[in-house]
Amino acid sequence: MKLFISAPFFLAGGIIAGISSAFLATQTFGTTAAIKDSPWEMRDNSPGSAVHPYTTAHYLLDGRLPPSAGQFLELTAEHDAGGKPINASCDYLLTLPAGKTPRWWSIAAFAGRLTADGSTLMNQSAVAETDGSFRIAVTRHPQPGNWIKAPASGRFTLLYMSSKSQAGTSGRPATPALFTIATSGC
Amino acid sequence: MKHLYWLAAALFTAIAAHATFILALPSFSLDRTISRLSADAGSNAFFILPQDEQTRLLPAYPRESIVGICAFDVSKTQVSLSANLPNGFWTLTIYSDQGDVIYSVNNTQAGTNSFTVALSKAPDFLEMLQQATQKEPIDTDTGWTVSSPAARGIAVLWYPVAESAQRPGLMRELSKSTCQPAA
Repeated sequence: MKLFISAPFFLAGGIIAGISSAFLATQTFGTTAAIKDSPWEMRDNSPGSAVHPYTTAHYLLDGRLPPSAGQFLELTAEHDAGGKPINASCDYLLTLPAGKTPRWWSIAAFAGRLTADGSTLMNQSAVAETDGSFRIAVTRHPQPGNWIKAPASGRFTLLYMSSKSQAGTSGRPATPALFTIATSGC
Repeated sequence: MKHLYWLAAALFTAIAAHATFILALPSFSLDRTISRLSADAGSNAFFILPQDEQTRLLPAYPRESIVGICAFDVSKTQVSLSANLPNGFWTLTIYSDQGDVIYSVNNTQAGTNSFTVALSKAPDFLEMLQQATQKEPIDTDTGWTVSSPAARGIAVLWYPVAESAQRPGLMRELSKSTCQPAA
């Protein structure tokens, strides 16, 4: 009798464990540093990836469509080049070196839930340096030149969308030219 | 030892819950999203998404972008998507109702800003067997063809806009795109 009373607890435990592990897997699987020691992380949602169902679930459960792995890379950074959390109380300078810039890119700063509204800069509207590189200030107050408004307070995340040079491939995503993230003052 | 049976049942329940969460819930969520977005226009119709909906569906893309969609249903008929895009960088991505990218192309790959994609349901195993025993059908070249493994899905045309003042004019141009059952 005691055994039958404990049965619902075993089954409920199984459901909780199954859902928790699935949720954790959607948040973590497929996420890797874009290159070694880089603050930029990307999620491998290419169809050939072993964790493809998890990365697809990550996007769909959030009500979003996954970016086409053949067309775009979506990278996020929560730390600067020195490994310190990106925080609204500091100013940051992002630099995209000349030469290997993607055909199209956008960069945004957001706090909390992912959204690129309000503080986004695209390559079409950014001004390049004379050597072809791009320098972007990320601060709370307007700056001359390329500028992205940082959130008012607290930690925030940088979002870098980049077109891929070759589309339609199903292999692991290639790494585009990345912005360096330097703290210019706190 | 007496709890071994229930431990096994708990493990089985955990695996079933895990699989349901990963395989069934996301497509259910996408199905609801597609139904909500196409509630007014219906299936097999092209329309420009309002900015708020666009920010929800594609939050990583700049808000000033223009996104046109067609929620297609090829279960009973082929669907013809005729795109009309302004010059510049754009992408067309076709998703199945499972959220998988079936087809994707950008302006450079397309080589044109006006094109037609014929969407149809990919044959299932039995249909393929039947076709293998029949004569080859005469190939009629009607542009690009995409065979969808799923009967339903969503085609997304995305165009980034550098200046918000340009948005209304570019929207008008993109609105000339159509999505309709093939004649």
